Amino acid sequence: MNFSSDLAGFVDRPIPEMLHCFLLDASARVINISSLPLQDKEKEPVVVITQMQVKGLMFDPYNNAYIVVLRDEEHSDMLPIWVGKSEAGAISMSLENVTPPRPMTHDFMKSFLDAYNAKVISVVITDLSEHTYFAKIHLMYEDSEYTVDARPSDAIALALRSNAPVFANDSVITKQSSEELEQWLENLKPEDFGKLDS
Amino acid sequence: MSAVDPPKEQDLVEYRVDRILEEANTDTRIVVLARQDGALDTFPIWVGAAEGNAIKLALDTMITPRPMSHDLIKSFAEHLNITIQHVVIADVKSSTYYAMVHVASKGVERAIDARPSDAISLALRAPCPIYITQDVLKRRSTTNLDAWLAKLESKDIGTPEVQET
Repeated sequence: MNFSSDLAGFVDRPIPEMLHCFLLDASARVINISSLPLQDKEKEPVVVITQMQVKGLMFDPYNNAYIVVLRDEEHSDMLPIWVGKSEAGAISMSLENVTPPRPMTHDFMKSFLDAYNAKVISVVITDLSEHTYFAKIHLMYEDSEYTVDARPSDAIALALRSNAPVFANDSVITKQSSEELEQWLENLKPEDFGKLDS
Repeated sequence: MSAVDPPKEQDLVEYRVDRILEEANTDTRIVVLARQDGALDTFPIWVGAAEGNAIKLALDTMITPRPMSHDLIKSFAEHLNITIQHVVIADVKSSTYYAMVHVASKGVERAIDARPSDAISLALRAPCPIYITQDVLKRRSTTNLDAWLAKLESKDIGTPEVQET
């Protein structure tokens, strides 16, 4: 967790818009707006989410950190998420189908849920606020659904191990592209891409 | 994971996390467990830097702005009404310790295989007792540990970096 001060802002910040997050959460699983009854459209803020594929990890040499690259299926939208080295390692192991000799933290996390047949239905990157990403993990347990606040890195690492889909709130994707990160990513050279050293 | 018998109290010795030491030359940490009853015995476990930092955060009762991985596991337990009862360092094979996290929900008990670092990290957050079996205590390597630890004690690591600003 040796981030430069530049990167620190991307990772952990207090929650200044708790209420906003909560509202998003209430309808974060709604994908098809047209299927909503009219009164629901009027009552709740409409949140459109898009399924994203975890395309890979890049090393960010400027911040000495890693970037998880999410893209939508049409490859028209990209969502880069900065994570620490150990978080990147947890995601990388799943992407590369590496089975460690002992359960890593997210393998244990999955065992923990499996022990009582709790299932990860989906994870949603819900918000970007002050350079911090927020995610929700949706669980199904004994016919009830639970929504748990998480860092995107934990949510993605768990989703990959649970074969659960990863979604991103469209407002996050829009905000992201407006922050000139795409341009920054385009300027990255091929040699900046690579496997983790851990 | 499997259904388990209730722990046999005579087989288990309770320990607490005494401190986290930094291994100077490698990117590892040493979690030093000490007897909960005050008897003089320390039980060191080598863990990775990230794992050591996760334990250190809990040991120092640091509240991070966003939930760390083990906070998330605790959050799952709270949401699903699963009680984390205790963790046991239950085996040692080829210099690797094996732990079990004992959980219960509505009278159904399970023991989940874990690395000791994950088990301890979770135990501090739950909070719940940390046990070592008599068997593991007998079979651990004891060569020169005390002298080696004494040498390291002056290098107690500080608070790990947390992004707060």
